[in-house]
Amino acid sequence: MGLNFDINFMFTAMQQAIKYSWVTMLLAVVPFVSGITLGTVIALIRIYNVRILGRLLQLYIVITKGTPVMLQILIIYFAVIQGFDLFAQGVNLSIRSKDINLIYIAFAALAFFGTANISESIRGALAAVDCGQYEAAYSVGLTRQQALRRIILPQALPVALPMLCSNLIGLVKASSLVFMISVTDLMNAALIPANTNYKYLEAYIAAAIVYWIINIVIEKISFLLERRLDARKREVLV
Amino acid sequence: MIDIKGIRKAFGQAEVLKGIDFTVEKGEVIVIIGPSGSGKTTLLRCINFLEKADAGEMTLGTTSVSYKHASKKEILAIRRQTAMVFQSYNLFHNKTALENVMEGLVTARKVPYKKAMEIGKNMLDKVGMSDKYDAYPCRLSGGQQQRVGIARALALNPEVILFDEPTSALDPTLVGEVLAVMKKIAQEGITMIVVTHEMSFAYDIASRVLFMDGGVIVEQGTPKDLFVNAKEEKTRQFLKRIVPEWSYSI
Amino acid sequence: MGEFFDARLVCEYFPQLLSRLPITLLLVAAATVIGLAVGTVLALFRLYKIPVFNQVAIFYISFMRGTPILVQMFVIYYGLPAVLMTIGININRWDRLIFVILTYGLNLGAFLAEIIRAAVAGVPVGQTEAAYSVGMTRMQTFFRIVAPQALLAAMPSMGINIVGLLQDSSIAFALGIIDVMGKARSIGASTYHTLEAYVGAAIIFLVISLLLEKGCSIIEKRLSMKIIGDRG
Repeated sequence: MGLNFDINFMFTAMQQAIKYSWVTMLLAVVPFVSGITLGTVIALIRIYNVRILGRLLQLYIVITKGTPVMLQILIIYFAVIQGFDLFAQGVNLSIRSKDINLIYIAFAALAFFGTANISESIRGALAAVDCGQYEAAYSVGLTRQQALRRIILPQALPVALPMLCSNLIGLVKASSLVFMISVTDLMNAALIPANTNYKYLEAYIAAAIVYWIINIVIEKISFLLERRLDARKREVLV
Repeated sequence: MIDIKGIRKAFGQAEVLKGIDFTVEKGEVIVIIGPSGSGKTTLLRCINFLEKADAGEMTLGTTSVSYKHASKKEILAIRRQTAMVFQSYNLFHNKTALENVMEGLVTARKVPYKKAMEIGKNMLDKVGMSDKYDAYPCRLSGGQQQRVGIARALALNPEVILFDEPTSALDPTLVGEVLAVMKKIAQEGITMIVVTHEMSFAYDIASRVLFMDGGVIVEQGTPKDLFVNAKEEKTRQFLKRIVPEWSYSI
Repeated sequence: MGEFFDARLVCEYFPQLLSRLPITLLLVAAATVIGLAVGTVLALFRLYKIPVFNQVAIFYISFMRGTPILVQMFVIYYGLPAVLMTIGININRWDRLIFVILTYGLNLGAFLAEIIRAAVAGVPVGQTEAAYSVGMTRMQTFFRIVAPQALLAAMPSMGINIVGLLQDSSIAFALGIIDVMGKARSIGASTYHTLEAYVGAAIIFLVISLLLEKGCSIIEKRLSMKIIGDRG
């Protein structure tokens, strides 16, 4: 039995995968955007060492970085499902957990995971800005907010970009785990046709190629953005 | 002892060395001065092939090489007869001061370990670093690191030691200790080629001073000749900018 | 099934979960060894720009870094036996664990290749120049001066990736491996207390991750002391 690779089937599977690739993109981008917003706030809280909140958030980050994404997704899923049922029973709501669109749970779980990593990237980028910049900004009378907005964040951005790109790619890859909670994303979609003819290899390779293309595009965009930022920085110097 | 003819080097379109000839006798201390971009550092780095010149020839002692066609073996041979002291010291971060000094001896010249250690310690003593044999570079000040760098070069007992702006990266308070060491070894008769901005050092120690500008040697002579009675206008302009007190005769 | 969460059950499940910890650790250790070997070779291809191998390395690294490990695992599980069959080698009898270890090792190798490459390229050029100027050859310079410093620079990132490998090992159950994660699922399936089982597994992962991070940190400090004489 040689290597009978059914290229045609691979393309069929790829078509299915591409049809659902918007789900994957959504599962990556929504947590990414919410991650950047929340993450910046978290990073700032940690940098300025806000008393209790800072410690709590540090705990959050340790937990997220110390447990697998898979478990985070599953725990949040079961916690929400069981919790919701209890809540609904207690408050006498007519809907049950099975009526919730599972994709929202997926968003929540991936956002939980993603925000921690993104906030660490942002914190790293902010830390990379020479602390003399902060001091200079304060000494000319800028408020903390002004200093951040006008001096620090613009300098942190080029440093943050590559790390954020890598975070986004990580989210795209993590989104492949939602098959565990019955959400149909591009990987599931590629596998559906394979359930009848057992040509799983072709289906997985089809999914791999689609993921690969998505991530290459993200890298390219990040690269172009980095170049533009760099060019603009040089213009200013001249 | 060193004879360089017709050395040329271009970086892309820009020609940095435009045909330089010069010779160095044993025991001479040559100081090269000039504005930045004049090619003096490039000239120095071409001597030990850290830059590859486009044309020209060099005779070092009994070895002759042509820059364009130098083979790996020839380059290695030249490098084993020369030593360099760098502006940014370039001590091996992962070796102690003593190991830094011994490295070239043990690895490149196959000197027995015990002998190398003896030489190493002697050299470190000579530059005043006797108490820092086992210190790593990250624990030493700039001046200390540079002195170890000089010891490293001395230990190799080369035909010539090349100094690439050895004090330019140093805190002004540390420059003195390095210049003192350089003065000491100059007086012992070591052949030195020094690129520097330290004019008083040049005046005190050099046997000959070369003024370079725009890729050529504009003028050369003894310190007294050059600093006090410069023949070329360019030289006088440069000296006036750098050392105003030498615009009138002493 | 009225309770939401029973913490005592979590404690009850620990022994069962821990019994499968050796498999998880074996997976991580073996994959790390493979990853280091693969990563070093790939980094060398990239650094010395060896003609065909460089392109293959770029391709390979991009693929392994750009696709989910879940997908890679199945591609190798289904694909490798088929490919080897065409040249007459039958590996259908191999334990699934081997496929899993291979996947994780190859995956880690791609990430390590980039880390090693960046570390070697990051050693200041002055170090190489100084080595040449005392007359050392390229080989001597690389092994005695550049490599130790590159190793030191690479260690923190490598540590992070190995801890990441630990997290990723939780996906191996999809291929039927009964490691900590796999055991958690089977407990959940038989007792319906899936949440407690997963929380137990999560705690185990957390503790092992922290231990691993601490271990890497200690190794980094020791290595730093040994190589450049500084705990920094």
